[in-house]
Amino acid sequence: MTVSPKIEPLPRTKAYSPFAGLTMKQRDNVFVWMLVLPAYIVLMLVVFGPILNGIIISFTQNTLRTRENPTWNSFANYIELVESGDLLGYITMTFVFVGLVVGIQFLLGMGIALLIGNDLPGKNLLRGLFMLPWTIPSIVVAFIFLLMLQPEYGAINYTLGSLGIMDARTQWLQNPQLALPAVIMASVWRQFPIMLIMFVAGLQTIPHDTVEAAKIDGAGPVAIFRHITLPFLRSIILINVLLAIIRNFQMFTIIYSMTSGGPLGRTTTLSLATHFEAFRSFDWGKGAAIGVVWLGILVVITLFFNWLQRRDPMA
Amino acid sequence: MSYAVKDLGTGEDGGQIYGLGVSSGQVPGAGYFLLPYIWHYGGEFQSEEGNIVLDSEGTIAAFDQIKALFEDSVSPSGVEIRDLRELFAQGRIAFHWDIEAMVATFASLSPRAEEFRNAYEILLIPGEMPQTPTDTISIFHTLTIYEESPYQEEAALFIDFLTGPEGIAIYNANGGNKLPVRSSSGEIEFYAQPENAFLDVFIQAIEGPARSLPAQSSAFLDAMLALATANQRVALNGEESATVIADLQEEVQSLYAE
Repeated sequence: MTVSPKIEPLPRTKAYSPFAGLTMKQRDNVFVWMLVLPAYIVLMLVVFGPILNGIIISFTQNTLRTRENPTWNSFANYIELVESGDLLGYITMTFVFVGLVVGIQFLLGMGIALLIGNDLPGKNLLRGLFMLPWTIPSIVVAFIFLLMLQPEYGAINYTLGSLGIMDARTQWLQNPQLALPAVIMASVWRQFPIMLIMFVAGLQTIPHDTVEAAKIDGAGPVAIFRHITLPFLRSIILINVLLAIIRNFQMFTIIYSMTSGGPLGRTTTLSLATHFEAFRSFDWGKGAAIGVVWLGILVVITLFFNWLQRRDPMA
Repeated sequence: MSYAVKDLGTGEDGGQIYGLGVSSGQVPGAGYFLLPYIWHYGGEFQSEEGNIVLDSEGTIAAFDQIKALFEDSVSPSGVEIRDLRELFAQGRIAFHWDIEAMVATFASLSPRAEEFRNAYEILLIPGEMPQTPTDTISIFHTLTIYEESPYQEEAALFIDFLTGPEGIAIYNANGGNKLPVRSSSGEIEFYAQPENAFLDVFIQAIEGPARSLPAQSSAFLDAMLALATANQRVALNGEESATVIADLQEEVQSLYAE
């Protein structure tokens, strides 16, 4: 007969958990943070890291001659830009450009959306045609308008000259008064389809019975637009306009390709000014300073629109 | 002002034929294309000591001349250099000056295609005085060996090869259309073609009379941009040339002082 030794069971101990002591909600929050942490790390490296680096460069004298050993010069770059009057000029030009481009494409997009949102014959074909400019790359748009606006053989001068509307050799891109309208025209043509498609989608969400009820009550088109359409589209309008503002603050390709910021700097916006300072004059400190100001303006505008969005009663 | 190159009629497309082509773009290239006009009227960009000497009667006269060319429709107004090349290729400009490498571009832009090469002639830009027979400019690109380069001798040998007869022959056989502006280029077999009247004019220019662009300074491109912008102020914006040139002098001086 064999006797097995009695094996005493191990004492029961509670398993260690880093989440011990947390509530269920706190555990959920930790789990969420663990999921988004990799994305945040990538964002920090790819987005915030370069932004921080740019801000630091803006406080240094960093030129072609000093690139090996840039020196800290505090606010000297900013002061030089302000004292020369250049910065105010760039900001003014940018606001004028953005204001006009966004305003015109808003009116155009909304007007066409209301038109093709109704039961118009061929509206699907029209929608497709109106979307075409958006599919064309900005550089190609710039060259199309360059050719059309060429004073000697451009289609626009030829057409307007033949109709007797203006001098057949009107300068556009080197005329200090007409250069900005020319680049605005190209930018609006390229971008208004985005506004248009967002408004068309938004118009589809307006309840038909609300509109019908308003019509029965005697409301005309203007009243319906003001009291029904606009309130329903408020969120879409805010997002659309904010995105358009950001897009046009960044506009570089069309302006640079068409006018290179000229003539006489009449189309030099913040984006071109940054490029010229950094990559033509090789003053990376000053270029970064313009970039920081540009970033600051966009942050303020974005915060303002977020505040407007929070006030939206229909959000 | 009277011109020998005005009222030249219309081209095949019905557009006016201009006598000269002057670019009024706001780019550095448009700036250094103005230097021959400044030199022609006795102005200078830099003195022998390296000082900026743009503010002179010669420069003012040059800018006034260019403005008059636009106002009198001798040159198309408000066009970039690429537009001038297009117009010249179409036979809409009588006299156009450009770099040697652009001939292939003219042929490709011209409705006559390769026949264009038989439809034009070439000469040096005439100078104002006999002792300055030409205001043709040469644009050089430097090959640099850095002080801290660990293979300086090898780099020097490579540069000798690149710029020697064998390297030049390989470069041109593969579509390189740039003539070296070294005065010894005429000795390289590829360019020693006296029966080629076109090439012969360029060799003549670089062997002696052509002036090099003063492009050694890192501020040169910004200075040329300032020159182009000054031209726009006078020619397109109607400002007083003396005032604009004084501003230009100050601006370029500060660029070179940095």
